[in-house]
Amino acid sequence: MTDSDISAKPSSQWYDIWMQFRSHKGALIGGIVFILIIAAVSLGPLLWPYDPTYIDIRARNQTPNWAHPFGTDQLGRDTLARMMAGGQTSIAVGLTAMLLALVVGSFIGVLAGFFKRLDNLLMRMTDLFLALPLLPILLVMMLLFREVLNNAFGPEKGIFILITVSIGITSWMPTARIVRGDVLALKEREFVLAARSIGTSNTRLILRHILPNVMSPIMVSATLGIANAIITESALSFLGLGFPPDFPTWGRLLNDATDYLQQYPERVFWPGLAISLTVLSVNYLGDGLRDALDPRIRSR
Amino acid sequence: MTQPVLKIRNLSKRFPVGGGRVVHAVNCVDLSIMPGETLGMVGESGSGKSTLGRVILRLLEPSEGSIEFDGQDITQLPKGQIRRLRRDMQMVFQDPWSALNPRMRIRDLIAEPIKLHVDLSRSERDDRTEDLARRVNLGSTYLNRYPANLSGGQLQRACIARAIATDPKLIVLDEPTSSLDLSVRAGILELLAEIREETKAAMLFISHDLGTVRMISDRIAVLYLGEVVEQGQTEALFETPAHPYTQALLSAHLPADPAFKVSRLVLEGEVPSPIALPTGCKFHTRCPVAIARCAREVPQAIQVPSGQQAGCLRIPNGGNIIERKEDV
Repeated sequence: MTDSDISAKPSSQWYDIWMQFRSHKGALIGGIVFILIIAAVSLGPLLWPYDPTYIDIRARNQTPNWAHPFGTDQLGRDTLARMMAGGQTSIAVGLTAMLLALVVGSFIGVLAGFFKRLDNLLMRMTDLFLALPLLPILLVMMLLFREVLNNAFGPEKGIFILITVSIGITSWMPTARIVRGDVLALKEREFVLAARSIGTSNTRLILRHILPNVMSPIMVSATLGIANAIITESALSFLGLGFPPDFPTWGRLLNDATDYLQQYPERVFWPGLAISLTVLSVNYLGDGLRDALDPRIRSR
Repeated sequence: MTQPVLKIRNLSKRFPVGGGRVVHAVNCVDLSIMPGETLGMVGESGSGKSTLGRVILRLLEPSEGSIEFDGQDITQLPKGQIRRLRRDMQMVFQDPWSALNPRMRIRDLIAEPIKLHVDLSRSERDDRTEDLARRVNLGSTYLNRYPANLSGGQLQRACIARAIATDPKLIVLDEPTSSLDLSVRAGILELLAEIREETKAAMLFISHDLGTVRMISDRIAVLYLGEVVEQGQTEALFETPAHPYTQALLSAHLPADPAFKVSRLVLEGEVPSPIALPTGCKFHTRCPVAIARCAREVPQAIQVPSGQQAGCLRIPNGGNIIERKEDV
C-alpha cells in the first residue's frame, strides 16, 4: 500500500463494495442480464398484446414469425407471452424457495457449528432430510396441503406457497452442512476468542462475527439454490404436482415442448435458454457479490 | 496493604487428549499481581504460558485451583457474570492478523468493547474511539479501513486500543510483540509502557523473549512445564537467578554488548512431554545439577537471599548454581 492510498479520503463502505463489484466484469454482465430478465418478465406482459392463456386455434404450431417472434404452441397460444408469464412464476419460485432454504440452512448450520451440544442432533437431522426421497415427500405434501392452501389463499397463491415451501424445506441441507463446516473453522480463529475476551454475548458473536464471515459459502449456496429451485419446480410441473397445466412456468413450457421435440425443436430452446441464462447470470452475480463483500479481496 | 488485582492459587489446567491421556498444561500455579504492577511471564514454547493467560481470564475453564480477581473469587462465576467482569480484564493476542475480525472496520473493532460495556451515545462513542486511536498513535484515517489494509504493528495498536477501551484493571498480553518486526516491536513496547503510566492498569506480560520482558516487567515469573519455577523482582532475577532452569534460560539470552563474554549453558535433551510429566522436580531430567533426590521429591518454593522465590531442592546447600564453563 502506498502513502497516497492512506491519505486518500476514506471512502464509504458501499462505495468500496460497488467499486470492487464493478471491476468484476462477469458479475457486472451477470447482474445486467439478470436485471434485464426480471424487467422483461415483469414489464413485458404490459407491453405485449397477447395474453398467455389466449387460445387462437387458427394460429397453432407456428414457427417464429413477426406476429409471434417465438412462435405459438399446439393450441395457438403465443410463446413469447407464455415465456414472460412463466418467467414471473419461475423466478419468483426460485428466489423465494432459495431464500427460505438459505435462511433455514444458515440457521441450522450456524447453530450446529457454534453450539457443540446441538451439533450432533442437528447434523443427524440434516442427514435424515438428505436421506429422504425427495419426490415421495413432495407428493405427500402436495396431497396433504394442496386443498387447505387452495381454500386459504386461492389456487394460484396456494400452490405458489406450497411449492416454494416444499422446495425450500427439502433443499436447505447442503447449505447447512457447508455453513456448519465454516463456522467450525471460524470458531478456532483468534478473533472469536478475542471477541469473547471483551465480553461479547453469543448472539452478538454469531451476528457480528460469525455470520459476516460465512457470507461466501452462503452466497454460493444462494446462486446454486435459485437454479436448483427453478429446475425442481419444472420437475414437479412435469409430474403434474406443480402449478395447474394452463398456468405457464418455464419448467412447464419445457415439459410441454418435449412432446413436440421432433417436429418443433425450437420450442424446447426458449425455456431452456431462459433457465440457463437466468442461472448463469445469477451465478456470476453471486460470484461478484461474494468478492465485493470480502474486504480482504477488496483491498487487493 | 492494597489488595492484589489478581491472585491465583494452586491453579491447574488439564486437557484430555483421548485414550485416557491428559495434557498437564498448567500445574499448581500460585501468582499474584498488584494494581499497576506488570508481571512478566517467561518460558519456552509449550510451557503453558498462553494457557495460563487464558485460564486467568476464564476463556478456558480451570481444572483446579482458584482465581481471585479484584477481591472476588471468579473461579465458579457463571458465564453471564463473567461477561460483565470482562470490562475490567482485557487481553491482547499474539497474532494481530487473526485477532481482528476481517469483516469489520477498525473503527467498529475499537468501539466494540465500549459498545458492550459503556452506555454512551453514538457521537460520544465515536469521540472516544478516535481518542483511543490517538492514544495508541494510530492515524484516524485508518479507522475506516479493514484489518487487511493495515500492517502488523498498526493492527497490534488497534488491538491495544481495544484492550484499553474500557479502562480495565488487568490486561493480559499474550506475546504481543513476538509476531512483529523488531523495528515495530520497540514502538509497541514503548506504547505499552506509556499506557501503563496513564491507566495504571496491571499487566500480565507473557513472552518467551527475555529482553522484552526485562524492559517492561516489575516482576518476573519463569514457567517450566506449566509450573512456576522461579518468581521475583526483575533485577534480582536477572542478576542472581536461583533456579537452574532460569540460569540456563538467561544464559541463552544474548546481551546487547558484543564485548560481553557469553558462557552458554546448553540444556541437554528436549522438554519432556506434558502428557507424561517427570516425577519429583519437573526439571530434573535436564538439570545439570540434579541429584537423586530431585527425581523423587517435589520442591517447594523457597525464598532466596536476593529476594525471589524458587522451587529447587538444591538451594539450601548452594548446589543450585550451575558452574559455567568458559566458552572457547
